[in-house]
Amino acid sequence: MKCVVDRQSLYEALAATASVTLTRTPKPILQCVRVTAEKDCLILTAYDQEVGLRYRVKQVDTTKPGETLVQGDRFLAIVRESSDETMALESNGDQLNVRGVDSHFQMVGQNVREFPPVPDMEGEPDFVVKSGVLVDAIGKTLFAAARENTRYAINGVLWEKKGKKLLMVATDGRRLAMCDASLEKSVGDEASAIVPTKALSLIMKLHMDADETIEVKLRPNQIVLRTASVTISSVLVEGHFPKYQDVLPREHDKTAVLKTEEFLSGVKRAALLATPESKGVKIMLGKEGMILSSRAAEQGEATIKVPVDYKGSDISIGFNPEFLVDALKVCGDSTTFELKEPAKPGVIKNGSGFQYVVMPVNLS
Amino acid sequence: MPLNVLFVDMNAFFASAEQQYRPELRGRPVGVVPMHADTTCCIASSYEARAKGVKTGTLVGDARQMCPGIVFVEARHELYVHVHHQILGAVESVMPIHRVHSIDEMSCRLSSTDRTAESATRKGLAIKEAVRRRVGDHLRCSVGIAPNTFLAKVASDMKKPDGLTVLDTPDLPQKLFPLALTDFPGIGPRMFRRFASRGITTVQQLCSLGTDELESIWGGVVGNRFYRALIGHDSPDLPTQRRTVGHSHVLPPRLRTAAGAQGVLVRLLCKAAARMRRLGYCAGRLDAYVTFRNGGSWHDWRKLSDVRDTSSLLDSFIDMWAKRGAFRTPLKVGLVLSDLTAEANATAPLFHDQQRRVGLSTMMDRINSRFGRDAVHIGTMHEYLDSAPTRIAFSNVPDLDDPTNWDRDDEDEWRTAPAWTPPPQARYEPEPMDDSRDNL
Repeated sequence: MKCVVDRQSLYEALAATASVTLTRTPKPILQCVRVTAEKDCLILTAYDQEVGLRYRVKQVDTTKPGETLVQGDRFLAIVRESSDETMALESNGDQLNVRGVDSHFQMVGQNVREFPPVPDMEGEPDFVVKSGVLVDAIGKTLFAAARENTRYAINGVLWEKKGKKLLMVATDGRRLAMCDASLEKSVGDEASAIVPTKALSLIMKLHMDADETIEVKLRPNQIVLRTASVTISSVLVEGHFPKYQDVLPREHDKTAVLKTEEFLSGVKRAALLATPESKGVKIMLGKEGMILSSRAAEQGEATIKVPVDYKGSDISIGFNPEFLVDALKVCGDSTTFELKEPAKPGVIKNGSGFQYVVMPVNLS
Repeated sequence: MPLNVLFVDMNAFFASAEQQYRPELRGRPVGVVPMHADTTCCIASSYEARAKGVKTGTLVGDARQMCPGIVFVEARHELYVHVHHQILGAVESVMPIHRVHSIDEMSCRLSSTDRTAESATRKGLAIKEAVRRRVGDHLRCSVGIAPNTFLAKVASDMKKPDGLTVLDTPDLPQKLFPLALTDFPGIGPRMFRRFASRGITTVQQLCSLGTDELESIWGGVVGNRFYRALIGHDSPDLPTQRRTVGHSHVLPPRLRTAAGAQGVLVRLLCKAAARMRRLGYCAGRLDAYVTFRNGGSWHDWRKLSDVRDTSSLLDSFIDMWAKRGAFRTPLKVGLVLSDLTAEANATAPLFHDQQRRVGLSTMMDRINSRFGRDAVHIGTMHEYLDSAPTRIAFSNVPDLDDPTNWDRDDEDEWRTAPAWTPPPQARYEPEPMDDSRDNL
C-alpha cells in the first residue's frame, strides 16, 4: 500500500473511526483501525464488535493499493499533531510508515487478516432521510436515553418507522423525549428498532452536509446507515422498550408559552443555588407570571422572574433543573410548557414534532 | 475561655455491658470477640483483662497466654445498642445531649450557669450517678470538661476508669504536657512520624508551635483547626452530609462459596436499601465487592438514576454479579450505596412499573416496621435471614427503632432487659459519616 492523502480529510475520518475503537479490551485487534488504499479512495474501518464504521476519504492519490492495521488512537495523534498539508502512507508488511515534510513514523501494526468482518449494507434501504433531519431528531432525543442502565432496552433510542415518518423516543425512566423526522423515501411495512447510544453519538460526530441523504437498512438485530462517504453498522439493543404511549399526558389545564432563551436562562440561574442535596428548582405559575426559585441550606435562596404567557390556575411544582435545561437546549425560539398537577409530569413542546415529558420532584 | 463542653466516654463499653447483663462475668477478665474462633481478635476487653495487657485487637490465642482464665464472649451488638440508648436517656435526665459521637461517646454543651469548674463538675458527677442508677453499677464513664469538644475529649481520656477531669483555661497548656502526642485525636502513628521528623516529640513542644507551623506539618487547614482547638477555641461544628449507606460482612466458613457470598450480598443489599429509604435518600450508584480468602478481590459498580426501591437495586446487583468472571473462595463481602440524593428532591419514576416497585418497597418497609424485621422479605434472601446480623461501627450507632437492625431471634431476650423508651421528641441520630459500614 502506498498513497498520499490530504491531512485534514484524514484527520476527520480518523477522529470518527478512532472513537469506535476500544481503549480497554483484551482483544488488541479491536483497538486498531484498518487502513485500505484503493485506486480512488482511502478507506478507514473500525469495529468494536457492536458498532462498525467505514469512512471513505476521497482526497487521496494512490500509487499502490493495499491495506494495513494500526492502533487507532496513536495514528490519530500522529495526524492531529502534524501541520503538513498532505501525509504519505506506505505499508511494509504489518508496518505502516507515515511521512510528513519533516517527520517519519514507523507504526507497528497487526495482521490485517485477523480483523473481523464489518457488516455492510445489503439490498435496498428501508428508508432514506436527509442527514440534517436525522441529526436534528437524534439531538432532540439522545440526551434523555439512559446510560448503563440494567434495563437494557432504555440504553438506546427507539426508532419507529410509520409511512414517511420516523419517530424517535428516548427515556431514562424519569423523563422521556420524542421527536418526529420526515423521511425522503420509505419502503415496506412499519418497522421499529432500539438503536444504541454509541451509534447515535457517532452519527452526531460526523461532519455531514444537512442535505446529504442517509440510507437506512433495518435487519432483525442490526441497523446499517450509509452516506456517500460513511457506512455505520450497529447491533440493536435487545429487549422491550417501555410503553411510552402510556406516560404521555392526555390532558392538561395549565399552559405557559415562553421564549426558550429566557426560560433556559431562568432555570440555569435558579439552579445556581441548588445543591446535590436539594436538586429541585421550584416553578410558580399564576397571575404573577412565572417565578423560579431554589434554596440551598446554609447557602441561600434564588428567585428569578421569567416573562410568560400563561393560561390556567396557580401552581407550584418542582423539577430537577438539569432535566429542564437538557430539553430547553434543543427547543427552538418558543417553548410551550404544559402542566396538570404538582405530582404529575410536565410536558415541554416546541411545535415542531418535539415533545418532552418530565416527572417533577417533591419539594414539600 | 469559659468551660463550654462536657464529654462523656463510657469505659470498656462492650465488656462492661456484658458484665452488667451477665453477673457471672463481673470481676473476671472478659474479652469480647466477633465470633468464637482462635483466629479472631478481641474487639473489647474488660479492665481486669486490660490489667494483663489484653487490648482491642489482641488475638484470642495471645490473650489466652497473656491472661489465663480470660472469658471470651461473642459480641451482642443489639445489646450494646440497647444499652447505648439507655445511657443517652440517663445523660439526658441531667442535661441535654448536644452530639452523639459514637456508641460510647457523647457531648453536652454547658449552659451559662454551669460554666464554672465547680458547677460543671457537679453536672459530671450527676451524669455518672444517673448512668449508675438508670443503667447499672458496672457501666462506668469518664467525664471530661473543657472549653471545647476537642479538649473535653482529651480530658475524658486522662483519667480512666470512672474519672472526671476539668481542663480549665488557667490549666492550659501545662496540664496537657504529661500526655503523649498520640493521646490527641488527629495524631496517629503516621502523623506522629511527621512530627518526629521535625523534632517534635512532646506535647510541650507541640504547644509551642504556631498556626503556620501546624498548617505546614498537616499540609492544610486541618493544622489551623488543630491549633485553634488546642488553645481552647470553641469553633462551631462543621456541617456534615451523608454520602453513603453500606454494609459489609465477614462470611462464616459455611457461606464461603459463590452462592453463599451472593446470598449474603442480597441480604446486605436489602438491609442497606431499607436503611437508605428510612434515612430518606435515593441512590445514584451501587458498588459491590468480595475479598477472597487467599488474596485478591472482585469489585464492580453500576450507575443508578435516583433509585430507592429494592428490586431495581437487586436488578443492578444481579447484572454485575452475572458478569463477575473468575471467582475464588470468598471471605468478606460488602456493598455501598452512594451518590445519595434526598428522596424529597429526587425526580419520581415516570413509568408505572417503576412506580409499583417503589410502592412495593415502601409497603414492605411499613410491614417490617410494624411486625419486625424480615416479616416480609424477598424469596432469594430466605436462606440467609440469619446471616450478617447487626454490627456496630463505633462511629455509627444503629437506631433502636430501626427494624432493619433487629434479629427476630433476639427479641425475646431483650424483653427481659430493663425497659427504656426514648422520648418521642428525642431522636438520637449519630453524626453522619462518610462510610457507615457496620463491620468492626
